[in-house]
Order: sequence, then C-alpha cells, then structure tokens
Amino acid sequence: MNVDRGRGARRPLAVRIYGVLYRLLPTDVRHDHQDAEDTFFDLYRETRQHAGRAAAFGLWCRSLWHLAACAFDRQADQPPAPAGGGASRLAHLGADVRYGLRSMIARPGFSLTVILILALGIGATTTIFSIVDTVVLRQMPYPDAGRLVHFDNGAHSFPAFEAWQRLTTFESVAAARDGNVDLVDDEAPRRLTSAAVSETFFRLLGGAPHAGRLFTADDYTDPGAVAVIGYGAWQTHWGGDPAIVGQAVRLSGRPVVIVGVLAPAFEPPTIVTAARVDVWLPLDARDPEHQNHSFHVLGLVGRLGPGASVEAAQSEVDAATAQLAEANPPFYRDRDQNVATVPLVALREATVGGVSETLTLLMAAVLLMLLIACANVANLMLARGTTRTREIALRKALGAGAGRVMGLVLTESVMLALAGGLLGVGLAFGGVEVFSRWQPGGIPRVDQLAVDGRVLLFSVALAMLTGVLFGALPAFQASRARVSDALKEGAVSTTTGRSGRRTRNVLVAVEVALALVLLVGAGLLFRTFLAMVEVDPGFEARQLVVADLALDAGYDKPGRIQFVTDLVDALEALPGNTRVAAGWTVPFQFTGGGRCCWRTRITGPLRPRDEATRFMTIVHPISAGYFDVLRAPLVGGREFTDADTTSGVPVAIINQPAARELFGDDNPVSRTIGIGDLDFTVVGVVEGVHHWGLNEDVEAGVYVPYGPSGAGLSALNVLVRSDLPADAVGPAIRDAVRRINPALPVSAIASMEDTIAGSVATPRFLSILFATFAGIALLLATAGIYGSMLYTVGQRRRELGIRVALGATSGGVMRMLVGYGLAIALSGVAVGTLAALAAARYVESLLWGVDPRDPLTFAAVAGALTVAAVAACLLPAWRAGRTDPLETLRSQ
Amino acid sequence: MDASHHIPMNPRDYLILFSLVDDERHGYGIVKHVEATSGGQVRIDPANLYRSIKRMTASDLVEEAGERPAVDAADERRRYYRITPLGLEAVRLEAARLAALTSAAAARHLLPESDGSR
Repeated sequence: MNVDRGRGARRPLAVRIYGVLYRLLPTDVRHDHQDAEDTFFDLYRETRQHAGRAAAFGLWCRSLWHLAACAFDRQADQPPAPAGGGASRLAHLGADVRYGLRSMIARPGFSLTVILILALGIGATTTIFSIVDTVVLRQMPYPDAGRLVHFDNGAHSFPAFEAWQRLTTFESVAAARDGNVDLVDDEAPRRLTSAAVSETFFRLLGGAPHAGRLFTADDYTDPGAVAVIGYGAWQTHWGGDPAIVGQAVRLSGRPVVIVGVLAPAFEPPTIVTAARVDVWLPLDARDPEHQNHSFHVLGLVGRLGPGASVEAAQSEVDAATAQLAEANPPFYRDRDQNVATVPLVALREATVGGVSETLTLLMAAVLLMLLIACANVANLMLARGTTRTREIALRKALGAGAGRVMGLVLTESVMLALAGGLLGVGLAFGGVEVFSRWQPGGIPRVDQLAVDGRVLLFSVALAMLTGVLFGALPAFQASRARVSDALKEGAVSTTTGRSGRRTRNVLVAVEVALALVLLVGAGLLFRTFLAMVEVDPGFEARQLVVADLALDAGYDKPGRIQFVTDLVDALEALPGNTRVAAGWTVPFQFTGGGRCCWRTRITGPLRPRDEATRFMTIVHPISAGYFDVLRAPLVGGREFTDADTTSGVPVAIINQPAARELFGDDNPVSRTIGIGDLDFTVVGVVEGVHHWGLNEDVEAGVYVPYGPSGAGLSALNVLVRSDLPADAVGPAIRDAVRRINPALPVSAIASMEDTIAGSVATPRFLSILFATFAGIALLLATAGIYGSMLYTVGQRRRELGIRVALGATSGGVMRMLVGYGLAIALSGVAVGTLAALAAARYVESLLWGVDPRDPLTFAAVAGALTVAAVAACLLPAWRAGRTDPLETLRSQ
Repeated sequence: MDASHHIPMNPRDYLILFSLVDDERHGYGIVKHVEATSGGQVRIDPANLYRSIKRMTASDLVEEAGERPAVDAADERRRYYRITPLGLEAVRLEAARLAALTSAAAARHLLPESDGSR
C-alpha cells in the first residue's frame, strides 16, 4: 500500500477525519482509502483556495453525508439502476423506520428507559445551550455590533469623552451616566433608574421611539427640561398611556417634559447603564461636575469607522490620553505616575466576557453528563443486541448485508434518540423557565432566555448525533454477527463474545470515570461556596436592616444632617432595642457591581505628601454609632460621636488593612493621615468589614464623620438593628421617612442577611447546578454498573451453577462477582481521578478558598463512587449466590 | 463478456468512463474532468467515485493503470485508472443510445436548434 507515513499529519483535520471515516465504510463499497482521502484532499484544498473556508466546510459536510449514504444504500447501487437509487434508498429508510417503531413498541420498558436517560441528557444540554446561545453566541442587538467597542477600566471623565470623540478612527462615541431620579406624583414617591446620555447615544446603538421622539440637538441646549421614558417604565408607572408624551412630570423635584417613549426592543448596553433604564435624560455638558477631570462617571461606547482596526483606534486613544495627561496634571495617571491606559474591548466581550468562562464550564459539564447517558444507553443496547443475535443472523441468512443490518440498528437508535430529544426539549422549556425565574447572579441578558428555532435545531442535531454515538457500537457489533454461530441451538448462552463483554466493561468504566470528573467539579464548587459562607463579614448581620435613600431634591448640607438626626430619633423611639446609624455606604453594597464610588488619595504621616501617597480608596462618611450598630469590633481608639459631626475638628477611623498600610505595626490612634488634600486625626481603628463581598479581601478603608464629609452627597443608607421582626422594621422605616418628608422615596429595604446571601448567589447557583448534573451522572453510572452486573450474572449462569455444584459457597460466588464489578468501577475511578486532576485547572478561576486538587474532595468523591459501585453489585451478586445449581443446569 | 449487459448505464458511471477514454487519470483528475465535461453541473463525491470505480473494476470496464509519478512534483504517488476494451465498447453503446434519445428529442423540437439544418 502506498501509505506515506508523514503524509497524514500535514493535512487539515477535516481531511484526516474524512480519511478515517472512509475507512469505516463496508468493504464492498470501499476502495483504497488512501486514494479516496487523497482525492478528497485535492478537492478540499481547491475549494478552500478558490471558494473560501465556508465553502470547504460545506464540501466536507456534503462529503460526510455521501459517506453515510454510501454505507447504507449499497443494494440500490448493485444493479446499475437507471433511476431507482433514490427511491429505493427511501424505501429502505421507510422499512427501517417501521421496523424501529415496532421494535420500540415491542420492548416498552427498554425503550422508555433509554428515552428517559436520553431526555435527561439532551434536556440539560439544550437548557445550557440556550443560555450560552443567548448570552454569549448571539450578536448584541445593535446595528453593526461587531464594530462597537467599550472604553474599559471603569468610568471616564467628561473632558476625556470630548477628547476621544474627536478621534478619527471612531465613527462616533457615545456616553452614558447612570443614576436615579425620584418620581413624585399622586402615588407614593418612587425611585427610578435613569441614564443621562450623549446626543450620539441612540444613533450609535440604534434606539428608536415607540411614541413621540428621541432627543434632538435642541434638547441639549436645555438638558434638564426633557426626558424619554423606557417602555417598561411607561407601562409600570404611566399605565402605557400615550397621552403622557408631551406632558410634564416631576422628576427629582423638577418639572420635566416627556418627549417620547423608547421602543421596547431596545436593549440598554448593561456595561454602561442599568439593565432596565426607566428614564433617559440628555447629558448636560455644562454641568460643573462634568468640567472636573477626576469626576469619572461616564460609561463610553464607540463605533469604529468602517475598516478601522481596534489596534489603530487603541493607539489613537493612547495618544489622546497622553495629551490629556500632559495638559492636566495630575490626572489621567496611575499610581506610578504613568499615563493611565484605557483599553478598548469589543462591546460583547466587555459585557459577557466574565460569564462566558462560567458558561463554558457548565456546557462542558452537561456534555459530560450526556456522554455518560450515551455510554449507558450504548451498554443497554449492546446487552440487548446479544439477545437479538439470532434475529439479526436470520436477517443475514435471508440476504441482508452488513451495511443493511448496521442501518437497521442505527435507524432504531436514532429514533430512540429523537424520541429522547423530543422529551428533552420539553424538559429544556422547563429548565429555561427555572433559569429565567431564578436569575442567577451576574449573568447578563438572562431575562431574554427562550427556546427558539436555533435552540430547537441544536437539540435535533444533538439528538441525531447522540443516536449515532450510542448506536455505533451496537450497530457495528450486529453487522459482525456470524450467521453460522448464531443460528446454532443455544448459542446465545455460550460465551458470546468475550470482546463484547470487554466493550461493555470499558463503557461502564468510562461512565464511572466521567461521573467522577463531574462529582469532583461539584465537590470543589460546593467547598468554594462553603468557604465563602464561613467568612466572617466583620460584623453581626442578624437583625440588621438597611434602607437605601437619596436626598436629592431640595436638600442642602444642613438639611441632610437634620434629616439624619430626625430619622435616627424617630426610629430609635421604636420598641425592641432599636439602634440606628447612617452612612454614605454600607457593607456588601458593592457586591457583584464593578462600578463604585469615588476613590480618594490617602497619604501617610510623612511629608512631602506626594511621596507618601499610599493608596487610593473609598472614603466612607458615617454617622455616630455606625460600628456600634453593625457590632463591628473596634481594636483601638473610639467611635465617632455626635460631637465629631459638629466640632469641625477633622477626625477619621481607619480599618486594620489601612492601618497596616500606613503605620505598619505602630499604633495609629492620634496620628495624622492625609485624605485628599486635608489632614485628619485618626481617632479609632476597626477590624474591618467587608464591603465588596465575602470572597474579596477587606479593602483598606477610611471612615469620616457624616456631617462635615458626607452631608454634601445625596446617597444615604440607614442601618437599623432591632429585635423587631424584619418585616415590621421595613414598614416602620417607610413610615418614619414619610413623616419627615412625604415626597422622599425609599427605593429599597433589605435585611443584611438577605444581602449577604445574595452576594454568594453565583457560587451557590453553580454548586447546585453542578451537584444536580453530578447527581444524575452518579445515578447513571450506578445504574450502568448494576445493569452490567445483572447481565453478566445472566450470561454466566451456567458457569456459576457449575461452580456451586462443585462446592463454591454462596458467599464465595458473591465475593467473586462483587470483586469483578468493583474492579471495573475502580479502574474507572483511577482513570477519572487522573482526568479530574488534569481538568482541575479549568475550574480554578471559579474556586475560592479551596485547592483545585483538594485531596479531601477527591478522596470523598472516589470513596462515594466506590461505595455506590459496591452497592450496585450487591443485589445481582446476592441473587447469583443463591442460584440453585440443579435448576440452572437443567434449564440450559 | 458482452458490453451490452452494461447498457443502459448509470449516468455517473458513464461520465467516469467517458473521462477515461482519452487518457489515464487518477481520482481527482476524473472528478475535474467530469466537472468540465458536464459544464460544472456534476461534481462526483469521492466516496461515490470510488464506489463506482470499484464496481466497474469488478465488471472489467475499468482497470488500474498501476502507480506512476504524478506530473506535479509536490504530489504523491497516485493510483491511475484506465478504461478497458470492454469499457470502451460500453461507452460506445451508451453514447449511441444517448445519441438516439437525443435525436429523437431533436425530432420533436425539444432541443435548442444549433446545427443550422433548418
């Protein structure tokens, strides 16, 4: 044979796959495979060169189809039929389908088991695929979405936006500043989400009005006067009344005319705005805040000009940023005084990049589960195949060729798979429903999940593939059945195929190995969840309720201080030891959100100041008694008192990480630190509370009194610790706020325990999902071992009978059989452990507080699988041990 | 064996045999020749090509020409196929049959008139 050994390796994978598959053709239609592969290679290369990659892929698919057709319709070809080839091929398929149906109905128990197993696998895979498709695969719903880029590294200043807008590589750049407005009308005041957007925004993202109009250039001359409302807000807050367009409403104390309603199809770019924006406002270029170079509030999205590369745009942005840094020291520089970099990232990547890893992992997990299901079903089919040997042999004796028999078995398995797929799609509908209800943390666009045409197509293809996958081995086995052997009387029960038994054992071992990989993944994710939950948040979360307020309209500094005093007094008058404090921020406020607040330069006690710059961090303005209400331990000094609010002496409390950073092991109390450009005296040190999440280290933090440093800000969180039940505290807070200011909305009230539970929603969700998949996998693998043992016992009945007749005890027989099953399971455990060790690094980024090679998890999983294997072997072995040898030998 | 046993002929077989009338060809050469002869309408898939070749080899219409170096220096050694006398006879018979059909069609004015005889 003219096989040149080096030749195969240089060829594209597609060609090599073709060559391998060609070799699988039945011998009567197959010619020299090397020659066929060569010819295909030439065709493939030519198509690829002249018509492109997609055409070559098309050729490949067609050729594989022809291969499959070749394998199944030989008879049609044998007399050089003038025209009947297609018709007879169809006739065969029709007969095979009828036969398949009959045989499915004839063994309802078997068919139902197979269909259920496949439905589980296909249903889970389809569910996860629909998520991956919606979130990751589908293009974002904007015109020319491929050319959209996000200006990464957080939010940016208005002057930077103006500078970058002038760059030539961009067709346009749009800015959005997200926020909130209060809606005050006849009903209770409500807090709405808002986004102030540049004139370019809707044009760039393809926004269109549902009613009225969007913003025009004129609106930007008087930006406070008009608003566009989102479709959802229109329905919720204005009852979908078309008359609202053109009318004035009161938003945060100002009359604003609603000029239009945004079309419902518009999907806000969640990387720069909230997922649901109620009110759209024109971005005010003249807002004094927007002249500030350190006021980083704008999310920016740009559309590259046609043909412009991201690299070209990036170098333009870099140059422009360098100019900004040059002209406006000390801004646009990082800690080391280098010009700050603003990376351009494709919008889709920026939006879903973080979760695509998680979703890939989930997809891998369900595919593993599907593989286990396939192995399981293949095993069932093989076991049944042996009992059908005589039927197949009879068909062969009557003239059916090997290919015809293979076609028969494959048609049946594909039909089973399609039935399973149908049921699986039903399950997927339920699964997607559960997902959209659950809304697991941090997955964007999850609210748009749906089982649509693409997903259905996927599941049909998946079912076909599954059918071929688990049908291939049984089909091959059936095609090799020898007529003479099989028709011999009693041949079924003799040592039918040692190789057949080995194949089945290997399949069971593979199931065990795959199940082990899944179980290890589930175990590691669960340990991560446990590790996070065990973290001490730094305060006592029980009996703590937080209310979120915004003192915008009509409040000045003294007004806010008075409001806080009034509210604290009103709430502390409640029964149940109620204690109240307030702060600009509260613990766990920022979990899940990448964007937060202003960071201020903190300097140590040394001069000159710029050399002593230590870090940038959030400065938290808090009221007196804040840490007392939190029950967060102080390690030195004291809390703020009401006197600190009014005395005018600048004081600060720092947490231990900040103390270590600034003072090392020295006692910071009474020392001076710089916050921005001002000096503060440290009066206390707290251990540290988590603001960002349990799995984030406590950030070096600085706390200042609310009155002098916080009352200029509108955001306010109220902390209430009370022995009253949480569902009584919420209404009490609303009531107290309404009595002080009836126009002030309380946007959210949540118990701290719920907030913390929400902050670990993603790991909890992942570990539950993985545990579900792994549980199903364990079940399938155990069932596989059980089925295989049952079958083996049946096959070896005569041998066992002889053993017992010759004096083997029932215990001995049991031990032998359990040992046999256990050997299979243990080899699966060994292979699976190695595979899991190799795969561990893929989950590493999702783990926290547990080593991806955690020996405890591995040992527990291996142990659990072994115990399950022994349990699965026991019943068949016990029954075998009780065989009556006379009975057995007589029946044979 | 009598070539008339092979008439009428599967169109694919006919095109393959026809491509071998004037020269020995390897698989890819046959595919390209058939494509050219049929004005780009027929492109034979490799699996089907070799199935036909195998069958026609068995019925002695085609034989392997033995290996020889390809003209293209970068190419590997290929199997070449040649038509047998029986195959040539079969092509003739099939061509005659097709010609008869064609002229019958022409007599009914079913073909575009291109010979200028009318």
